[in-house]
Amino acid sequence: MNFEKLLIGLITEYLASILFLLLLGLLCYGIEVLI
Amino acid sequence: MKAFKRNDWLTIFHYTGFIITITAILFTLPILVALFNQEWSALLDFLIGFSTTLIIGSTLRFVGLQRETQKRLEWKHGLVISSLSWLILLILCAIPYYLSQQYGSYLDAMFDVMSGFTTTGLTLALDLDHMSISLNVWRHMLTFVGGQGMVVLALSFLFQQTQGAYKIYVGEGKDVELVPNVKGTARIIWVISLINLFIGTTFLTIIGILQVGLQPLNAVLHGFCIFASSWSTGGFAPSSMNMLFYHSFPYELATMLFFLLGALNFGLHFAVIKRNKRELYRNIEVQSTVITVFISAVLLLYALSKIGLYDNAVLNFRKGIYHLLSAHTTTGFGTIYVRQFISDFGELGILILIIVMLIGGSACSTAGGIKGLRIGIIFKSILHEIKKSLSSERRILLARYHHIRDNTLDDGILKSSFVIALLYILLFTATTFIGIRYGYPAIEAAFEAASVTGNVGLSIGVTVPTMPSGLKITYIFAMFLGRMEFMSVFALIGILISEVKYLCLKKYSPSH
Repeated sequence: MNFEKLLIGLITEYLASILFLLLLGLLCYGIEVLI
Repeated sequence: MKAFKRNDWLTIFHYTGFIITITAILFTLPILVALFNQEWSALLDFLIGFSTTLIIGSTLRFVGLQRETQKRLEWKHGLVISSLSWLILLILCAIPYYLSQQYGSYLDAMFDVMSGFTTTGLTLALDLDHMSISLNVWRHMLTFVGGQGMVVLALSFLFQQTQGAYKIYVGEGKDVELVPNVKGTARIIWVISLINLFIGTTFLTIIGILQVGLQPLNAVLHGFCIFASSWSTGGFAPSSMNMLFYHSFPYELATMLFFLLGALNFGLHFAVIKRNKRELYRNIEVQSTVITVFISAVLLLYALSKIGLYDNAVLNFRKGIYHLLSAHTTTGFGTIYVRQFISDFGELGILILIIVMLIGGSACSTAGGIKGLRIGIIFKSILHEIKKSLSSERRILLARYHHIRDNTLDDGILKSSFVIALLYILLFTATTFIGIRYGYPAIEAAFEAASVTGNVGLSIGVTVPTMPSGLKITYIFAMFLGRMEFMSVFALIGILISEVKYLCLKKYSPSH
């Protein structure tokens, strides 16, 4: 397994997960504002 | 007719012995930790466990040794080897637990081992806060290895490609081949997990020191334990207060990140590493999980707003979303006391958690449950049927889905998805009824049943050392069935029944 590829792949996965958590955080704020 | 002949059993003993012998190596880490921390009593417990496991594993290998063993591995062997290895290891790995006197009985010790192996995360320890460091490392290591799979671990140690090894691998509930051989696939799974273990432990150690205020060595221990639990979607923690012990938002965020990644398919990890980034949003499993998470999040936040205890977005995220993701990825970490589920979440909130616990994470990951892939396939087929009924009769519509590659949704895949989903629901219903029979309220029995069936580990307070032994055995069996995805356990039961039947017929046949 190529180390460079592995590193880029891991960073991509971590960034995608952080984005997903951010969206869920935004959802919490959205619902707080709405309700 | 006898289902298995003598040679079949010899093949099964040989490979079961191989898996047990490899697992015996795991004892070396807690032995080293016990030596380093001068925990002499624990050291003796681990040495007894190690030697017993090694002797039994080697004996089975020796008994099953025959020239033709490697050539004759069939599907029926693979399924039985997987479940038999798990059952024998369940008894053997419980030795240090029982000898530590941290568990009320050997059954309680086995409950904890099964909970670790299956990455459930429920515990029956009497005093978790005063457990030896080496035993805590052992618990978390078992859950980390269990997440990847005991069989996967053993297969990665194969010195040469064994014909039919794929059959044992599938028996453990994993069915993705990342590279053309199983040994290579098993090794890739371990490389991905170990690199993440290093990153995760380092990250949690830094937060532990800077934000939580732990001593450096203690922070490393907690970092290792919590990462092992997060990545394997286990849910064990070194403290009886679970994640509440840390009172730290960054620590909670980090665990969320790790258990989200842990609940992803190893095939997806491999595809992303191979620079196929589009897989992250094209994969049917990712799509179905994102949809179910967002729908359930909206419903849960609505339910929480009705109760009104969490009055701001940060609290809703730390309590509501945290438990939702913990349940959906089948991790089982909690940031509230177990009895707070009833008061803080209400019946609607608990119902949502039960549903997401049953849905679970991804196939061929460390997570349990019905799995996002099957949910995606089932919904895709329903949509396809609706489309078909609306289109003109002459048009032939082919249903397709993307999972690592483009696939056609055929009857075989659809049937197996429905069968497994149905079996999960049946297991959940039966476990709930047994809980109710033991006198627990329906909602509590259902919550705990969903938790053991989906290998989650969240508890509403039913799982305690004083619970009835019958319920402990039921939960052990439910965790085992849920993790192995039924087939290999059914194969073992079927073989045992046919062996007993054969012996009875032989005993009472007129010729005798």
